[in-house]
Amino acid sequence: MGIKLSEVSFAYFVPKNKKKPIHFTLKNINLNINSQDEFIAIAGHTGSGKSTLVQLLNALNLPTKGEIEIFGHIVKNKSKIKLKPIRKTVGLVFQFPEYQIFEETVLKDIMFGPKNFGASDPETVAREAAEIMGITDLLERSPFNLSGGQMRKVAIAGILASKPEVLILDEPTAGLDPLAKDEFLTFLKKINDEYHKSIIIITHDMDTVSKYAKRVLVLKEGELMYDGSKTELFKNEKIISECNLDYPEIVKVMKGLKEKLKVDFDEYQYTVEDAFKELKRVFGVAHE
Amino acid sequence: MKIIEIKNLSFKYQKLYAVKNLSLDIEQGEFVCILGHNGSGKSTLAKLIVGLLKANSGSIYIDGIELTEETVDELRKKIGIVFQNPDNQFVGVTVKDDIAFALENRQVERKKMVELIDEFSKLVSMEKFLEHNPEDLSGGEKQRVAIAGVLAAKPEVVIFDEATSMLDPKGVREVIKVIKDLKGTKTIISITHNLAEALLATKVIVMNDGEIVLVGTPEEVFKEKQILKDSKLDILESMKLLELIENSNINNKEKIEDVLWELSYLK
Amino acid sequence: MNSKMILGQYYNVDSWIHRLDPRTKLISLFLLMIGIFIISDILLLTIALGLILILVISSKVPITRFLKSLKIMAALLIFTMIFQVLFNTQGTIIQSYQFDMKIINIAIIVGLLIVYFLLGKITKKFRMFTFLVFVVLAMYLQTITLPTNSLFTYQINIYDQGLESAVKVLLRIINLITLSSLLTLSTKPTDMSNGLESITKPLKYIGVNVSILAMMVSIALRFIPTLINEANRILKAQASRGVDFQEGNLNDKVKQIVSLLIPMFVISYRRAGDLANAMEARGYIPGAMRTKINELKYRASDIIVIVSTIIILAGTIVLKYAL
Repeated sequence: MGIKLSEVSFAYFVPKNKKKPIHFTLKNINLNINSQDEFIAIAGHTGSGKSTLVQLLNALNLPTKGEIEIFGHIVKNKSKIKLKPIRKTVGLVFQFPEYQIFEETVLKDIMFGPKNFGASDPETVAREAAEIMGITDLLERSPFNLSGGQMRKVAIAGILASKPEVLILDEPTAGLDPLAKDEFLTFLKKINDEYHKSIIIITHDMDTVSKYAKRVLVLKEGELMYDGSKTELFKNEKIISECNLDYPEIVKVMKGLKEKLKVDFDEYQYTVEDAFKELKRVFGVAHE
Repeated sequence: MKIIEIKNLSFKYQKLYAVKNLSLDIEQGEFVCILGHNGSGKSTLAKLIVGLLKANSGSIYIDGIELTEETVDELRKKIGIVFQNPDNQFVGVTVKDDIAFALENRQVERKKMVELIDEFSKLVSMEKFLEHNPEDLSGGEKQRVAIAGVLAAKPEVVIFDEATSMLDPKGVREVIKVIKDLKGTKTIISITHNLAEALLATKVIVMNDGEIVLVGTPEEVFKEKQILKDSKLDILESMKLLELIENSNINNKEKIEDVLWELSYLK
Repeated sequence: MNSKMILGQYYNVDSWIHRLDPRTKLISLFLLMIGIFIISDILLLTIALGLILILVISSKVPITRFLKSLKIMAALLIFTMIFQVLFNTQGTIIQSYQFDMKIINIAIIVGLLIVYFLLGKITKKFRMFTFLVFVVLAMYLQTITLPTNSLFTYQINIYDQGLESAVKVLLRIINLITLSSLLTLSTKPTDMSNGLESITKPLKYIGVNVSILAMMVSIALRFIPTLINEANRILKAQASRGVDFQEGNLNDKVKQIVSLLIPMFVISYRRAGDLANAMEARGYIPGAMRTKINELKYRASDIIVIVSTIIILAGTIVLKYAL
């Protein structure tokens, strides 16, 4: 079980005149996502189709061509199937929590999703989700009086409470300051490790990718250019330059060191500690 | 000469002090970067300087004149501010209209406005977009239009209040390029939590909880890792690595440290 | 999303009508509309239509755009015409129809209604057409002899005045709608707003501050596409939380609409605060004198058009009272 895309293409607007060319936002995407333990980062320039792709995964968009299998449901262009069960299974959190938060209290807002999906006890699942996100102390407050980071947690709790199999987040750390960003992502990693839910995030930030992702998808102008591990991605100079990607900060530092010090070592380290170890290995440590 | 003098400024929001007894001088031509986490009071300070908020106590002098209700309209002509949200500061229906907005308010005659719009749209490389609606523009493009609009009014000081926080990497690059080109021609105050932007500055000020906790050149400030950490600011990866190197016995230690310092500026 | 589609009906093409000052178009439209109301002769109305069609062609806007506006009014048009034909009892009778409502006719009508609703699910395009066909069929079957007993008979008379009125109404409405479309299709919303602001300037003498109103209109125009995009985003975000407008009872539906409106309000409220700050910081003082980058200037063509319109209006008044 999971999500499988077969030759999926998507266009927002299909002209009635069949002779006019169709502008496809996504072209011929083939992709397999497991329901457990994945931590996927989707990267690519603005307009490459990342948000569009992710909205296909929970059937907010229907494929113009091709077929998507979402946890057993088959979705095609003119599918008339009920989309609600899919939306419950694949939880999508949008970029800004302001687009979904509306209730009087945090608790009520988190309960909204489960209620719509027919949960028998929305309050309990809402409290559980709040506990996972660490916002139990905020439950009786108005969601509008919270900090940016807190509001995001409320938004995610609202999706988690419906117990989706897969959690997708569109640029979850946009606009957060560096510390809040790190806290947040560490959190997501915890959910991934402890609860084994597959997590997909859209991000521009290569540091986020290198620190947290296990698998990376890179889109360019609607096409899937890369689907693999992050370590292989950063070593693939062709993809990096073709897709206009950046290296993680620490890799850039290591590359700079390598160039200026004219010494050979493995510059592909993703944490400061690993970088330090590699430098120690190459230069050796002076003995007193 | 001091273009901005802030003396013992305090501002209360609901029950808390967002800015506490803050004093600061900015010389003409400086590029000052104010670093601070969200909630440190840096944006509040920006709004106080342009008179959008009224301080509870203390005073602000701009070009020697005290900022009061009577002088605020005049003094606003000397300061331009670019805000964080590209959509929420775009007033005009088209790019041309938006750049003209401040000029219309100052009753600049039409012929002159056309010249200024031409000059400043070219400065930010948006001259081909004059008839475009904001909906057709990216965040970076909208921010560049905002900058053109601010610069066209020829202020002496330009404040960038987290102008890149909501942009994608391409947009950030575009805006930073414009800011870089501006360096030296105007007094610039850049408010941000992005360390790379701080490296452009001649003076860095770190704020935490409404107070200034550190002032210095970028080199001086980035050495104070503990203060940066306490102020909830991240430190550069190169600085983190530098710390580990400094505390070790690695061979070629000094050479490695020099290169790491050098690399910090190649942003 | 194409913002050009959203900013009103403006169709971007270069024609002398597009190039006219918006004030000219507004004033002329107003004067011509008065003229159309004054005329009551079918011949004159047809001539007016002909002249308007010439304007339509010279606007270089595809006729399909004009037809769209008419389609929207089609229901009103047809209703008014039928009303005139059936209920205007002035003049002489031209045609008379006898209808016999028998039991079987009632059954037929019920049957046709059922078929109509069943068909309705299949195709939306021909709804109006099938409805008319069924109505005609039902009426026709009341004129021929059929089995079963008669419940009652009735008569519909068509008078010549009725027909005449119907045609006059049709022509008037078509003229008016086409003229207004000419305005909206050839004038950018911002130009219209500027034009209105200029025309209504004298209102300041009775205390109405036109420039503030104009600024409000301008900002509204600026943000309509933005708001539409945001509404879409909110819809999608809430759809991800299970909001489905097709399901749920009244209570649920209210909740669903609230879930769309509140984020809209919150975002707009925050935006208003930010925008006010930005405007103030850039020196905006409500009601103060401002120069304008978009200057409206009358040209020769504008003067010719306005003078011609006045002559036409004068002509129609003379024609009406001299005849």
